[in-house]
Amino acid sequence: MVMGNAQTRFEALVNALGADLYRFAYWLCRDRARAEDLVQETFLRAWRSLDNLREEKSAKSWLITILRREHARGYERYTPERRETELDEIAADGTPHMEVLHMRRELAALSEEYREPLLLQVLGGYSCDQIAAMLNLSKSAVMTRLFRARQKMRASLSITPDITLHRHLKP
Amino acid sequence: MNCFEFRRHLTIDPRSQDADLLQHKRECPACAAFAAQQARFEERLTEALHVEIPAELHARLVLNQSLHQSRRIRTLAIAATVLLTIALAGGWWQRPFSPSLDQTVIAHIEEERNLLTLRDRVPDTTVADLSQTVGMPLQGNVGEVRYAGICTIGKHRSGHLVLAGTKGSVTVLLLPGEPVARRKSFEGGGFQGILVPTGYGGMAIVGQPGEVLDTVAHRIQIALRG
Repeated sequence: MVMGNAQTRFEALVNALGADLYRFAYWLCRDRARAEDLVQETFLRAWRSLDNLREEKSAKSWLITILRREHARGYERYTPERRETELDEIAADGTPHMEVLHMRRELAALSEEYREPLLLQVLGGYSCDQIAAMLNLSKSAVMTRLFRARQKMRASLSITPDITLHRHLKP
Repeated sequence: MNCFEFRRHLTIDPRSQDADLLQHKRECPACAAFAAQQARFEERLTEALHVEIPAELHARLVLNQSLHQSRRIRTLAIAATVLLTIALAGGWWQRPFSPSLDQTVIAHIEEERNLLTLRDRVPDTTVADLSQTVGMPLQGNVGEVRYAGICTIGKHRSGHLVLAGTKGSVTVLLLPGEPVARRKSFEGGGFQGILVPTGYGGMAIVGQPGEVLDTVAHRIQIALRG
């Protein structure tokens, strides 16, 4: 690959996917500085093996795979001390609507097994089949996790109706 | 599809466009209301996930990559220098002693000192043909050429020209097989000379003391570029 082309291709990837990657990293580790480190490392690794990326349409899942691997690797040697104030910092990021603020607190408190499929679906736009492949899970496991993730958040946020609370459901 | 299935399906995949799902939504007002609430929930969820991006993140990502690239190039340059040093050091004691290029040039001119006395002008076409043959084609005026021939210098076929200079005859050796890294002055046998790099290999210009050799070199280099 000609260096100039590689550079242009790399910068296009950064511009198109940098923000998505950062948000994904942010919700994965719930730490701003760590999230940026993860994204930096991800793009650096992507640069080193840019020739392996055959099609631009698969760039996002390729980068997410690298990022998840980096996160897992980092987690082995670095277990963040979760501060109580951090949830508030996360929630208040960008001075959002009160409802969004509560939702961020609940998202941050959600365990990773539920949060990650949700991130991939809502931020990544992936289908259950794709998420199953990325997380190495069965499709039914992904569906269960997505269902429970939303149920937990609804319950915490006291959002009704819950599907189990209504008597007038059609058989 | 019943209400339970509808709500479970919608909770798992709120953006689903499944035909059965859409039909149930049209037929069941309670589930349509549920779907509306679910849509609002999803909007808020999307909004919640879209945290602010740090200022200049993209610029920092590109900068980090550029720094990494520079470091990589620097590392490769250092590695190349080390290899070159090792190769040169190895070559120094492995190669049998051989005279330097400037010594070879002076020795060659001394052997053919009689060429410096020639006064007849050589046609430009002869000079052009000869230089073409040795692989360093000269086009245009290089000055008054009094000798043009092919000889072997070192192990390579070279062009040998004798030109009229301001202090006497000037010898120009076209050395396509002897690359010269940078301009170098030398003296010997009562001559002064310079070795200069060209796009085709090296070139030696040798004349009497006081001759402005760089002027000749400049003229030849222009002729080489055509």
